[in-house]
Amino acid sequence: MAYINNTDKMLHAVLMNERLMEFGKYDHSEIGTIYQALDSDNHVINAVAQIIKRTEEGASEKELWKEINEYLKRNV
Amino acid sequence: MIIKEIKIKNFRSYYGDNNFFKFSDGLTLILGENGDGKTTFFEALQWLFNTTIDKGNIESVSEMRKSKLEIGEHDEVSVYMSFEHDGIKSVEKSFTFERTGEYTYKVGPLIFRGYETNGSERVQVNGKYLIDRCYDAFIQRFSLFKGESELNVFNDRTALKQLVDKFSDIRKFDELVEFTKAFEEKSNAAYLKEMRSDDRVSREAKILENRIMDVSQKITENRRDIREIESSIEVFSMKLEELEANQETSERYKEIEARRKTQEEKRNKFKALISSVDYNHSLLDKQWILCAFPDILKEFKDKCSALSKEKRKLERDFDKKQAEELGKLKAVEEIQNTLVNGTAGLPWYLPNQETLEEMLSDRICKVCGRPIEEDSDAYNFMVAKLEDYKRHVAMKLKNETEAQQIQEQILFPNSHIEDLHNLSISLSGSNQSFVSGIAQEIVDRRELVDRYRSELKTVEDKLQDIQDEKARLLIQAGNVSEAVLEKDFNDIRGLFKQKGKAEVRLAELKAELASKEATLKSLKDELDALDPNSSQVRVMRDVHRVLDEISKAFGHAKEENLRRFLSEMEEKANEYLETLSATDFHGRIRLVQTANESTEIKLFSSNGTEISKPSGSQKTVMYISILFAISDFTQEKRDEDYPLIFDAATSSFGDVKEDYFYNVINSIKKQCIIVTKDFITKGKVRLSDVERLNCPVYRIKKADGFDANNLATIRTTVDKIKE
Amino acid sequence: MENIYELWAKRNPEFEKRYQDTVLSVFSDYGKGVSQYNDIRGKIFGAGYEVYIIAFFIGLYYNQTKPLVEDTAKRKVLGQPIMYWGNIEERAGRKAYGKIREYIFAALVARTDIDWIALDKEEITAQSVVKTLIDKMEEYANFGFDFILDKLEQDPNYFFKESAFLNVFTSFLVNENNEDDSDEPDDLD
Repeated sequence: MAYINNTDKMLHAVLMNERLMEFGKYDHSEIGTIYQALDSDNHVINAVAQIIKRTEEGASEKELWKEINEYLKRNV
Repeated sequence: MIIKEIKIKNFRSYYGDNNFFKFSDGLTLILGENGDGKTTFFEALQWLFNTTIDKGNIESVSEMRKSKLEIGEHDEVSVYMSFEHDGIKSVEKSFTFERTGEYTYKVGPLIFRGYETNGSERVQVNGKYLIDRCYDAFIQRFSLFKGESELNVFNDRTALKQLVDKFSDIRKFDELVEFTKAFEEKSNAAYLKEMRSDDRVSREAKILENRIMDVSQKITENRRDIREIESSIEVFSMKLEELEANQETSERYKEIEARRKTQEEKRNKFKALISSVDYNHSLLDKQWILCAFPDILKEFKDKCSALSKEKRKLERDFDKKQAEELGKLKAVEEIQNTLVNGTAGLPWYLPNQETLEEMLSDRICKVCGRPIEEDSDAYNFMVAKLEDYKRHVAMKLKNETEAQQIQEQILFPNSHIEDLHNLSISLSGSNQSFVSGIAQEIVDRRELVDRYRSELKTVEDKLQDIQDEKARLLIQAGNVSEAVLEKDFNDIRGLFKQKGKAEVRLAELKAELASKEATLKSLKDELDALDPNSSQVRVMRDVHRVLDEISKAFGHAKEENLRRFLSEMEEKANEYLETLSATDFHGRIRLVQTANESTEIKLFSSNGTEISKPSGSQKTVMYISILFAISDFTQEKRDEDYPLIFDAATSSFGDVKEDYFYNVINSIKKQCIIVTKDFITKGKVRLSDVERLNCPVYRIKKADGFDANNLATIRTTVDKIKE
Repeated sequence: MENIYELWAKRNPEFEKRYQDTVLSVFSDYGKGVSQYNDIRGKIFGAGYEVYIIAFFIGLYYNQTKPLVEDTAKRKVLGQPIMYWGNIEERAGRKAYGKIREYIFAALVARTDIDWIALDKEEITAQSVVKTLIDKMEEYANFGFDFILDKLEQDPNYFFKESAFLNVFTSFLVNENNEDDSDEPDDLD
């Protein structure tokens, strides 16, 4: 079995949420690795991936907020 | 990591250089009683592993070693461990100490060295570095336990957090949950702000917003009230539980006390009965001293009787003699009376002596009137007759005097013998029976006292049993004092009422909360449903919605993660619990989350009820099972295990299970070093029981000949008693 | 005529001084007076004569006498004349036991060779009889004191055991029983 790193696990754990899936209108097949998610057109998947990735990279709350806010404003 | 050897030199009670332990890959037991050096063993290890200390302390040095140093002489303290962790490594912490005066010492710098093999070479490394790498502080927390109270790892909340962080599937949720929550709030604030400036909806938005704020505020207060009531209900429940436990204890206590009083009354009664007769005083007061007197009394009586008899006989003899003599006199008298020519004394019709004398001196017979011539026959006849008469009278007088004398003769002027006889009689009859009965009276009394004594012993034994029962009860009841147990538990009723009221109030508050939240939701929905003019507002609303959902999803994922981790740990722990308990009842471990994000370890029986007061041994097995489960995680995550080192008083298991228990632990593929006071009875190791073990066993012991008041005489000896 | 018993009862017998501290004071409050609360001091008996009585009976039952030391300086007279013996206040569980005087007197009569006939004949004086009785009494008691002292020297605690004195006296019963063994047993009815 391929090694699944922590970020991927995190991504799955958050996205595999029925309510979120209903809300975001996506299904589990659309969830891939973190990199795939960052490329996704689905703004929910993408936003979650960004939050996870950027936090891991050490972004501060302020920075991340700006990014996510902008992203969502553009894509929602 | 597997510990191979440990050497302790001059650390506290471990005097000298001969304190050496070699450990198996499985279980090694170290036997010792309190005070033998068990705690010091742990402290030596803790000292070794503590990477924060940087200097030696003279307090750690063996007093005995210190006292034997000459002034100017020095020695060293050291703790050394060799272990396997990706190759053979070792670590040693030491410092020197020197005696500078009678009471003064100096310590050298602390040396903390490590060695590891690099290929085939042995390389020296910094000890702190080596320990941080191989046996860091986090792992130590789940590996080394000085006392049994430390075994409950979840007493410390951060421990669980760290475990989850390190070992759960997914780490670092906390930060993300925080961030996403913050984003949700920020986006909400921005959205509302926009709303307020939108011309179409601003007024309604404002109104709604105000109402939302209002309701939110009330909800916050409501939540706070609920928390308060919930915690006071918890307190009531705890107190009630305590009281109910105490109630049961109290009732048992009162019953024991009642029995005790009854027995005490009995004891006092018997004691009084036994002491009611003082043997020494009874010798006199009850005349028990006369128990051997009957024969003497008989002697006395016989003597008195004999004396009386003799006296009477003598008296009789005497009387007889007296009568004889009197009789003789009488005869003489009679003879005397017939002396003068057969004539008796002057007959009554003749003149008496006076008249005769008159007649003679007047020379005339006063009978016939004739003169009496001197020397005539009549005259001489009368004179003779007068002489006779006088003689007769004199003799009679003499006779009578003699007779009187005889009669006056008394043989026994005294009557002491009669007195004796009277005494003898008075001491007869009922007195004599009394004296005869004394010996039996004594026997009877003694038998009675013996019976009382044996009954008293029975009662005293019962009292001892009751005392033991009472002691056991008080021990079980824990810290409850006798005074508390005696109190009347009407308190329970009062508390029930209070708890009932609180629960009612809680239900009310919850209902209020629910309705408020519903109101809030509908207000928010209304707010949401407002159709703002500006698209900007709409965008912000949508952004907020997304972030709201995302935040919830993160929260949920975190909870899920924790839940899964705990469930896995629970599963593993229960596997170990079953192995360690074998056929014994063991229940099931459940890891229960409490309100404030902490976890409690609870034990449940198979029908779902909680075992709220597990016994000492049940607790120990529980904690050990969890520790094994945790070490399994380490094994999985780090691919490296570490030993469990702890002090376990499995004495609560009872002798039967000891060797079974340890042999089971030995069969688990984990290194355990257990320090215990098991297998020691009255200071001696039960070697026959130790033989049944499959692991190496050491015995640590305070060497004999120590003075409890002088630390310098105390040293711990280390002996291997089984391979 | 004065009753011999009464004359005898007026007397105070003598004992050897050496027994005062070694025996009398050990077991009684001898010398302290009868009105004291004897129990407080923990002495077994109250007045000294009580110990004297015990000693007397020991000699009596053993039927052994021991003459008193001749040197009168080494003798002492007991404080209370016989006629008061046993007249104790009925307090603290004690009872009066004056009757015992009669038994003592009876024993002395039994064990002395007084010519009572001669006495009743006034051939000998009452005083001489009383003297004989008292002498015997003193000699029995003297033996008893010696017995007690001997035991104490072997074991100072001997008579402080609860039944110690009682056992001395019941031991005489055992001897008597042994003698009786040679007789025919009595009929049960």
